[in-house]
Amino acid sequence: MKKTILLLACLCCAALCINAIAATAATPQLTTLRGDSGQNYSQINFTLFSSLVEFGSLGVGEAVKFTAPKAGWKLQTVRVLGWSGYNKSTQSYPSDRNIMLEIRDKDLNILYKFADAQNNYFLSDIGPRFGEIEMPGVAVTGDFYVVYYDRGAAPIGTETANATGNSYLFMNGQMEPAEFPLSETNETVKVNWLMEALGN
Amino acid sequence: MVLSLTGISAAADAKSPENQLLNSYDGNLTQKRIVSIDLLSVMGLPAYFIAETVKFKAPKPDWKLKTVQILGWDGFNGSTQSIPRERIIALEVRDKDLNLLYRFTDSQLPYSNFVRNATETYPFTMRLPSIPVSDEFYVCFYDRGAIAVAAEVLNKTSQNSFIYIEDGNTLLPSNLPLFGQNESVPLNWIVTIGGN
Repeated sequence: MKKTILLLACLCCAALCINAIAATAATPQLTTLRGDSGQNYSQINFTLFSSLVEFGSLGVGEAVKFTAPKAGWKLQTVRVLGWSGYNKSTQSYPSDRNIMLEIRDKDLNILYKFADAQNNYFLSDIGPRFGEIEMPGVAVTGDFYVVYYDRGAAPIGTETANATGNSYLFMNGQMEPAEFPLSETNETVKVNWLMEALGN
Repeated sequence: MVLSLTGISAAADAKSPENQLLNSYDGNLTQKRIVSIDLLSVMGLPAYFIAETVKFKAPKPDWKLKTVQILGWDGFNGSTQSIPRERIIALEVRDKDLNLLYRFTDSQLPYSNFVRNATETYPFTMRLPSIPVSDEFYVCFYDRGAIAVAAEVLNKTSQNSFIYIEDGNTLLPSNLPLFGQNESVPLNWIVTIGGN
């Protein structure tokens, strides 16, 4: 959807503007970190999860622990698989609501915090998509956490097999493993939140 | 839409004794043809990812950007029906290579003409936490349909005003069609920044 929107944007702008492109920044080479199984996304079975629905709280975040490839690595972009929904009957998108993102170091100190309306990242009429949240080069070293608060506005993609142990629920100031009991079997299932950290 | 400029006197909002102000325009605004445009109305949904953008040059290396003031209108004209609903706007500061230096989002209401009971264009002032900038840099404002940004109509393409497309990290000239017209006209966004 975003590609469609952006293609439309480019066409629209090309039609509207008299001159050719004025400037395009060089794309820096970014390293992508994943906290999930690492399989091709087309092969991953996933569902959508909302901490607001599960816990009734706006203050519970879905967190993934990453390890910076080198000291002082600059986190530039976080990609989260999510969806703000679409009503096919009325062909309408949901109203704007807020989501939030935090970057925390290994001791859970906040390094960066950002909130915005979910539709700017997860607007789609065909289902979940990766929303890209750019940030101003947040320096991280060693382990760090990306915490996403869906707040019921844009539930997050959740891989339900091949858990890596790097996904958590951030609640009450602590990281709890992202695992849920199945009522049928009393078995506990660990999950992976589908998000990426890109930097250089 | 051509708007009057009674709100401009409030531009002193951005001024504090130590702040140096830089305008995106030359001369007196009251003598210019000013229009206001929100990109969502012009471009539809793609405008969520497109920003009115002005290039500034820092007066000295490591100059601290502290305020951004955008002349705009939230649609409130005094009637109950025109009271704006809350939406989220975004502001970015980018260096000369378009790397992101600072990003800020908020409801438009705390800055808007509506909450000041003003019914015409008004300076929306956003205070920032001293962003160091050097050389040329860009201030990008995503109106998201919440605020129509005032612009000066020019005779030729502006060298300082652009539209910025987030995906692709691209700048295009700020040549856009005015309401009810088919042809694009060159525009210069009315923005004043403060810093020291």
